[in-house]
Amino acid sequence: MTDAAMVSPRGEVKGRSLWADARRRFLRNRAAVAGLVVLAVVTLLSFGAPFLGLRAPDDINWDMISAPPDYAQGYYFGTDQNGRDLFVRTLYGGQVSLMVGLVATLVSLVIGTLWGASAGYLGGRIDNVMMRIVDILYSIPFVFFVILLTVAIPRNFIAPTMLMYLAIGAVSWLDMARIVRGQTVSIRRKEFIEAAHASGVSSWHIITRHIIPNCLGPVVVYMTLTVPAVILTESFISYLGMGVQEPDSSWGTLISEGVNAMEVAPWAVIYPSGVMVVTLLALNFVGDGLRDALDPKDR
Amino acid sequence: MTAPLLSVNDLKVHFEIGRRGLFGGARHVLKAVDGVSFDLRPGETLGLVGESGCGKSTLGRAILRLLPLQSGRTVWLGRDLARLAPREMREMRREMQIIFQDPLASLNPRMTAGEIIAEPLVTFRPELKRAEVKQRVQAMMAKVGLLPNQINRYPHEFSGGQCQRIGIARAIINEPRLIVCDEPVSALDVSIQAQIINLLMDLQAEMGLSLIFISHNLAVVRHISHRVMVLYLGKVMEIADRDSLYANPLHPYTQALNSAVPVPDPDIERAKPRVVLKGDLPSPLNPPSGCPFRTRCPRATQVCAECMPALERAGADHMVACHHAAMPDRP
Ligand SMILES: Nc1ncnc2c1ncn2[C@@H]1O[C@H](COP(=O)(O)OP(=O)(O)OP(=O)(O)O)[C@@H](O)[C@H]1O
Ligand code: SF4
Ligand SMILES: [Mg+2]
Repeated sequence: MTDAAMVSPRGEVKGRSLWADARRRFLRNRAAVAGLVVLAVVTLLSFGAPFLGLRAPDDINWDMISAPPDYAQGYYFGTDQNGRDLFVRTLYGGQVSLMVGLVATLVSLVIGTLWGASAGYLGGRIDNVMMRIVDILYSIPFVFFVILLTVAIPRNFIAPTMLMYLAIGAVSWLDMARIVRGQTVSIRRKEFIEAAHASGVSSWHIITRHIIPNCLGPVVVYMTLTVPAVILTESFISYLGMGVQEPDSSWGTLISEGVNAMEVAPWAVIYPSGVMVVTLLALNFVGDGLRDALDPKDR
Repeated sequence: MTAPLLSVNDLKVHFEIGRRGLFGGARHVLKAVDGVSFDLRPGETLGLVGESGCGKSTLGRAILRLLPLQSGRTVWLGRDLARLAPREMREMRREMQIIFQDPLASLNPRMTAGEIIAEPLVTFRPELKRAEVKQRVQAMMAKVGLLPNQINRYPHEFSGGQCQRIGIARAIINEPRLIVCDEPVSALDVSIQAQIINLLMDLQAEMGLSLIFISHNLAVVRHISHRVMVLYLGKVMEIADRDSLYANPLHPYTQALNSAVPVPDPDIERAKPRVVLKGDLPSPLNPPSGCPFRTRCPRATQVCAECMPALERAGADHMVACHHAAMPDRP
């Protein structure tokens, strides 16, 4: 390491943060970088689909009912029983599936980490009450919870897709809260926390400035495991008819429709599930890469 | 005599070990600090010595109210700290600071040296401009012997001694009046120990700091302290000004500790009476009755098992808790 190269114009030596180290290690991991590129491409195509000059996802072509892929006419993934372009529907479906992943990520990042870190740091009775709330929410069967929400909130008040985001958001932070609490309990005994306390730093700042940044390693890794799980959950809810409704699509609904027509139109299940599998694999590679990059044993 | 900065009175810190089980299992009380009293004057260094586990760190943290007290009072310039509301106590923390044994563990690995040193400052002076905070942090770094251009480096890029300097800079940036130093040099190389001790002494002279200096190294304590307090199983055995404690230790425990410290002069070293401690430190969960030291004391008698000796005056600035203390007037 050459110190001279790292001196900024003002003569200050740049530090190598643990994050910068992790980033360097991550970028050296080819599978992880490839995964990241695949994820970026899928995301860009899905959300950019309306601007790509493709057909509309509910455009029906009566001449092409359950037709196999036809590159000449631009039906890359073939069509479904209603003559709709499966490539376009897969891209639009990706919007829903990726949004579900994003919602779950944000909710568990914000609520899960704050909840877990507060419980772990404050300890005692507060910890007990907070974690019992998590336990109770955890013990409600998810499908029952979704049905409960569907019944409780009138349909004209909130769209079913929104309801699904709500349901997934409501439960996706529970695991995260538990993980972060466990981390916090071990970090809380470290001397730098005591030093902050002795310096008059408030509990809020101790949690946000000292505790959460030091448990982000496991948090980030867990995150990459949550996303595939909720994408599958979304398929499940939609399959039960409570999530995405026709004519909208998600990867889950496309696959379940495709399975029904598998014998006559295998492409209707192969292509959407192929895209989903590739995406989940990419996520897994990214997760592995992050875990290796952030592994404390390697520091 | 000037009024004390800090006055500690019959301080007790007890830990409950093992929670009550389903069937009402036994609960043990560990008396980590059990009835400690002393005064600390402004600008003074009080050394705190004793074997591992005798409650030195617990006492230091209890004084700063980092731990809940069982009973007793810590009076800071006439105000009882235990009576302060949490917000008032936070305000008080600007005046009292702590330095830890493990320099790296006491620094947040995700923050730069500059952010770490600035934290107490921005906590109490949130209105300060960034440029001013930075300028003060760099001034503080220069003061503790760090290169100010290292402000953006992270703790793992510094050596142990430099990390301890960062910890010291953080402790003094708000110009406190008291710093509890919990074995600040035990984890450092011998050559660096001296540098850190001298830095602390220079800062004390410059800023008029009071220090509570915890260590089990009597030679280091002798170098830095004005007064020294000897703890054993959470109780004060002897407290005296440095010279009289080292030249004329009255408590058998102090004598034993003292005789284990090598003296540079070989003649004195050979002539020195040697008191060897027999046995191990008793479990703090189940301390001996009467005088806690009696299981290892060469002078122990019946009375020692029956009652705990009170801390009594034995000189101008010398107190000792022993039934058979070697009083200066009866050799
Ligand atoms: N949080 C705690 N819960 C229970 N027991 C504790 C706790 N903290 C300290 N103790 C016990 O209190 C006693 C005193 O501990 P303390 O850390 O104050 O000793 P010390 O004199 O600083 O020792 P050392 O020289 O090893 O640092 C020990 O027996 C220790 O096991
Ligand atoms: S009181 Fe007795 S046992 Fe305790 S130190 Fe004095 S002589 Fe020894
Ligand atoms: Mg200690």
